[in-house]
Amino acid sequence: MSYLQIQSVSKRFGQILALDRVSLDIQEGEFVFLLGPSGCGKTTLLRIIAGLEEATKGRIIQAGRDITRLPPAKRNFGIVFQSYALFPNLTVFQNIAYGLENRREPRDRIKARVNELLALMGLEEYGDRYPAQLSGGQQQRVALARALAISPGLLLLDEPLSALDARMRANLRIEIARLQRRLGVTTIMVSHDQEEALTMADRVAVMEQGRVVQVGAPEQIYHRPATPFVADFVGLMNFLPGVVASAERKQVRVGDATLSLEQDIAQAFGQPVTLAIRPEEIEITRNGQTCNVLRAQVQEVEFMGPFYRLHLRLGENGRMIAYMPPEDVRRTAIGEGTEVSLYLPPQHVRVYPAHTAPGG
Amino acid sequence: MQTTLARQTPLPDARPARLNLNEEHLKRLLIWLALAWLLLGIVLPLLPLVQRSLSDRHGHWVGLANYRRYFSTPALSISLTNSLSVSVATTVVAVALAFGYAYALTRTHMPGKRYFLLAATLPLYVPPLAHGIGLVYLFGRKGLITTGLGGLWPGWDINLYGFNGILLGELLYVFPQAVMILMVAASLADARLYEASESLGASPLRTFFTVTLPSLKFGLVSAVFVTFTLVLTDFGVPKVVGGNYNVLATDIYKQVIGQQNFEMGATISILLLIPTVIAFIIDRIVQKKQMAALSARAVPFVPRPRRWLDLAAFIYCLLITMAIIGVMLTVFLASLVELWPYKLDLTLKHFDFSTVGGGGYGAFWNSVRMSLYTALVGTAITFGSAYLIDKLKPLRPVRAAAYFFSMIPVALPGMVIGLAYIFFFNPLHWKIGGLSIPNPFSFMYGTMAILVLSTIVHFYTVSFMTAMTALKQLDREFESISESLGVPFYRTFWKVTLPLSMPALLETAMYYFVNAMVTVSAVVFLYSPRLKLASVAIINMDDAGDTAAAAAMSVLVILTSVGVRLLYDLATRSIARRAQAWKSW
Repeated sequence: MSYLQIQSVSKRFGQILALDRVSLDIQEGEFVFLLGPSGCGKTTLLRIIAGLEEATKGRIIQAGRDITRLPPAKRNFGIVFQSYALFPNLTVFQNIAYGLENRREPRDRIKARVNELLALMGLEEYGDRYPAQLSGGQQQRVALARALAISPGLLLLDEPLSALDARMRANLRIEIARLQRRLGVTTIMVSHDQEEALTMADRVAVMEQGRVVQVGAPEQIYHRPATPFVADFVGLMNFLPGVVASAERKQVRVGDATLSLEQDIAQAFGQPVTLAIRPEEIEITRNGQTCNVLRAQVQEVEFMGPFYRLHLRLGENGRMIAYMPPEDVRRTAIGEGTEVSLYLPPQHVRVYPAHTAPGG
Repeated sequence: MQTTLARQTPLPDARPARLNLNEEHLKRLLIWLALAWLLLGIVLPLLPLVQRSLSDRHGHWVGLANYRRYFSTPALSISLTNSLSVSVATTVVAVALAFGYAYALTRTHMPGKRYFLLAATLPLYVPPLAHGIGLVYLFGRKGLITTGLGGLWPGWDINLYGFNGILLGELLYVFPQAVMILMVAASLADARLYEASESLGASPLRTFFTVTLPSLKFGLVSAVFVTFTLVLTDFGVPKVVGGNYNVLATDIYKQVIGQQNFEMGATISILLLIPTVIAFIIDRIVQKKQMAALSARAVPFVPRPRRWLDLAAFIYCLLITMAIIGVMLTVFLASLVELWPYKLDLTLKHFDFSTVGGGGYGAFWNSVRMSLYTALVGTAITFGSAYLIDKLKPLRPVRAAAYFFSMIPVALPGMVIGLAYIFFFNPLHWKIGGLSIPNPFSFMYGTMAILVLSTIVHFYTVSFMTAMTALKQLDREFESISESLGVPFYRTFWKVTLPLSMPALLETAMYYFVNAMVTVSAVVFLYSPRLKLASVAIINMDDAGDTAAAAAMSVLVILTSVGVRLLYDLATRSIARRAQAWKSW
């Protein structure tokens, strides 16, 4: 049985339905991300799991125990907030010991436990300092240590990295993921940053307007997004309008070209569909391939460091983005105005119902 | 570090040993208690006041008869016109003067700003009655200026008693408040707007009208309504220099104390409430807008030296400061000489209150005690209520109601609170309809407790807002964190919330103490002959013609308040270093 079961949880704030029958099962020791744009309900869901908000409907089961109506103090979790909420008038040591002191533990036991956590976080030197004397990254680790001190069964992280600068964020991303794996504590992290989710998570639950639209491993979310919304939110995706040419032979017409797909097509002949392909999956050639090829004109070439980003124009108003390695750009002498052929490998072309394309 | 496993140390049970089953109940109980005290102290006492204004002397329902009588008796209804006209006049002059002063303090580069700011706040420590007494010594019938320094110069009679006296006295009384409101508004100015205006080639005058004035709009409106309410409801100044110019506040006093006509007192109280409530509502709306207009990214404005403007500002502030200090100094001097302004030999005989009425040193020490209790109990109850309302989660509608009730006192004139408390606390039985209900609170009547309670309520809203502001600056997740760690809320309140709010707490205690020392309007109805107060003694001595003794008592009150303030500043400077070490980083 799953360690944490979220069963059809809904949350209503007045007229607004913040969560709409959300269900999610989380295994013990798993690191799960709630990923989505602001306002999608991910933080609300986290606060309901913590008991800081009450679910309007649905149940939450933790370790076989129904905790839906329990106050936070009677649940079993540690939490780190975006602001860290470190107590500014207490030292780092006192902050970490805060949850332990209440348990009437012997002083030396508490001391040993706090020192252990300080060591775990690489903060041995900082026990006597006040939070304001620490860097953002150190504060973040203190907040994490305070949450872990009580050995919670569940660790909840509410956008813990968003207050840090980019470099610090990248470092802590690795540290937190490593720590989580080492301690084996079941962890739920809320984020709007798809890169964080892809690099850190065991599984990602993508949320949109109060619903979970896809749950899966990062690779699965990235390569086989369930909806155009997921495809668009996680990474960059090109969308193309097409018409089914043959459902049995998995062929779609785009403009006057015919593309073959590997994916099954649910729509009937003549129905409009939306095709999707990631920029790095497109192969650019000046002649080469003849099947699954679209003609395009290069509008702009952007140097991105490790690769070039090409802004392409197809026909009247179709636009696509493709990536190209620097040596290919040099070799083929591609520049603004160059006519190119885009090869769309059949295994990478996804097909969605036409009306679900993001942004219409 | 890499080899340490997090769970090496044997751990306590996954959950705290003593699960506090009653914590949620305790929260709810405390929130209900907060509501209960607000109902008891603020809301319920207003009900008999309304009832009495609609009844006759024998408690029979007479509808609006009292109001009709008020408006058909010219001797009474004139006070409504008088009150409104003197309040409007004072408001216009006070806000104009305060605007100049606040402008000089925030937008110019004149020297001595710190001292000018200090001088502007001095009147806060002076009982309003003492402003009146100072004016009498200067401009009264035998005043220094009226008689031309005892005949040395041609005299100048400004016709003090009446409109002029009230205007001058109230100016002194409200000036600090108006200056402070405008200074807060001015300090929110965004320097970028000035830079933009300058870079577009606008003249200083145009900048003043297009940037400065609009940015102070909300502050000005707020200053206008606060000043208006303060003047309209003040009792001390018109009592001393009002002469035959009757105003609402003194009328209530005369009806109740002079004629024992409680029904007419209640009627005038309700009439006094109407404009203050309207002013309060407008002020609230305006303040909400100001909050919305506040941009977090505003760059603070730093004034540059401009020689002539700075000089003009300096002279302007100097003149006002001299007027403020002049009146105060007059009170000090008059209390120390044989017979002002004829026999100027120094003496301390006016500080021997044994030959005059009023209660003497007993009254003075009662006031000190009352102020101490008000500061201690008031701060505790104010901060506690604000905490319960802002930080706890259960019973949202109850907390919303408590918040609303906390806003009411600022619209209640002291006289109204005093009279309402008589009606609510004095009777042994409340008569509601035909019912007679025993009053469990009547034991409080005539005790220190009712003086302290009325004073807390009188100054509650400002203190409450101070506490709220301090609490809102704390991370709103502190409570969530401690809940997640299984730490009861009262422990986090004690270990985190309270220490972090210490500056606001001390400030609130000071505010209560100083105001309790000088206040007179509510307690004048509530003190008992065995429990006289200094501020009331000032009235009684002044009434009896013992003006020098009244001045001496005022001096004691001023010295006490200023002394406590200085002690407080000294103490906080050293305590703050230690108690808030975390802040200096």
